[in-house]
Amino acid sequence: MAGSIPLATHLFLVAVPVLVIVVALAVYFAGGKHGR
Amino acid sequence: MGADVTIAVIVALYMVILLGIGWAAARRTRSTEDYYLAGRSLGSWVTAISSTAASESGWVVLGAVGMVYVSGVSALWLAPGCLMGYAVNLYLLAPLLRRESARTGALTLPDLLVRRFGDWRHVLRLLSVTVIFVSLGGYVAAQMTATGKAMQAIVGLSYQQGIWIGGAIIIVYTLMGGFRAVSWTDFFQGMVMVFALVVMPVLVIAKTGGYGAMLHRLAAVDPNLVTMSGGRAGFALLGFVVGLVGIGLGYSGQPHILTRYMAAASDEKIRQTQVIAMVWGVLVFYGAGLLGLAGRLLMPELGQGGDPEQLFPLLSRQMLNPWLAGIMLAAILSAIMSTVSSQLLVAASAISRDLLEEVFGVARSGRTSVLAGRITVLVLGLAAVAVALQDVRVVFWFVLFAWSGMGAAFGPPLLLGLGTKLVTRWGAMAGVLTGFVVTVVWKQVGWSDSIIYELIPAFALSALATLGVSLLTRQDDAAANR
Repeated sequence: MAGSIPLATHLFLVAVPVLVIVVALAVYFAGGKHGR
Repeated sequence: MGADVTIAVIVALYMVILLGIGWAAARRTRSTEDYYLAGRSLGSWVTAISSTAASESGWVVLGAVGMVYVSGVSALWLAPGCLMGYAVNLYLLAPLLRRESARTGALTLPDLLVRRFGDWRHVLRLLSVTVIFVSLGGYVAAQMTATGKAMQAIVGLSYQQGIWIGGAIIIVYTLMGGFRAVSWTDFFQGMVMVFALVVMPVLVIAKTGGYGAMLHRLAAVDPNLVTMSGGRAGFALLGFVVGLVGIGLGYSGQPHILTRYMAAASDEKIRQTQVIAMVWGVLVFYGAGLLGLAGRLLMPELGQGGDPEQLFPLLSRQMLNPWLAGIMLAAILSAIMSTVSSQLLVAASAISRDLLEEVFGVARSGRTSVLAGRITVLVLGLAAVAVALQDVRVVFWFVLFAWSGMGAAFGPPLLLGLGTKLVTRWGAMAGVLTGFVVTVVWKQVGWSDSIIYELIPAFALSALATLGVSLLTRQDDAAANR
């Protein structure tokens, strides 16, 4: 087995997609309250 | 029932569903606005999923999976690039396109450009039609080729039979139901795609021992497979990342995507579309990437003389029961067919709506216009099938610059001019012309390989031309509008 996997790889593979979904949902709900 | 028969039954059922949707859509298609824009009645789910399914062809389910298989985690730079393209389209362009199209009555992208910026002797319309037709004509033929090859690999038909059956089904439902049929079938196909690209990665990652074990096993094969740089450094890394992220610039100029936003029923539907499409994009891009990573461990032989782009179909057949494998293979067909039908309709509308009706002034009444649209879809579709049957290599010449050409031609004038009064008709003409010409020249000279992906300079120069010429001609446009 090789050494540990770089933290950046985990962020790239897991945190980025989760963040995109969270931001998209946040924009939708924020717009729902104030945007209309 | 044998595995091959089961798969053939699933694919046949999938084709019947497409035809059924086409038939149902045709019953609701009466006016020109119905045929080209579904009567501006699309709901949020159909707008979101059909626009994203139309934008992602076999490139995602075959090409991107293969790229990640070969290069590892670093190839996934395409995901943030494409998602940025989605975000620009959904949050900046989509609301503006919908409102502008409803306000002016525009039915096609050239229509919208002309009604927004003005025209002079049909030059802007003719330029736009030429860019669309040259780009998409070849693209449709190449995608028909891909349909034939996919049918050959999946159902075991001959290449010619695959093209005839796949092509005939696409032509029939597009011809019958126009934009509504294309949007509804794309929605159905987009759902099949996202199902496949969520389920398949989960199954293959589990088979490698889980997410952590998969990464450690990949690192043991080659440590560069699990880094964001892939072992590159300096300008090589910069060029690699910019090239992949730059793909995202193309989204803002694709007429087969942008017309979906024009057809959305309301601003509220666009708001819902934004979140649905972003989630779909995340699931599909990262699903394809994770599938490529796990596939490297499960089918290492593809890296030694095999074709890594065939990972998804081969793994589906090898790992899954025939029913599930059939759905996965239908997802691959979905990715290809949803793009072909959308592009076929846009290319046909450029001829029937923009050229025949608007430039030559014929077939302008409702029924004649719909008939002209249907005949154009039939003629163009059959022409694409004929070209695909010959397997003419020249069509791939068009495909090489279709995405960049349309992205650089239409993206900058739309982004700069829809929400502002910055852009004049001359600026829009300059932007469309510059974007397309720079793309073709850059690609032909070979600078795409030696310097940078052609879309980036073409997009930047198109933006400069749009702004520069607009600034120089503001007086002229103001005088023309008085």
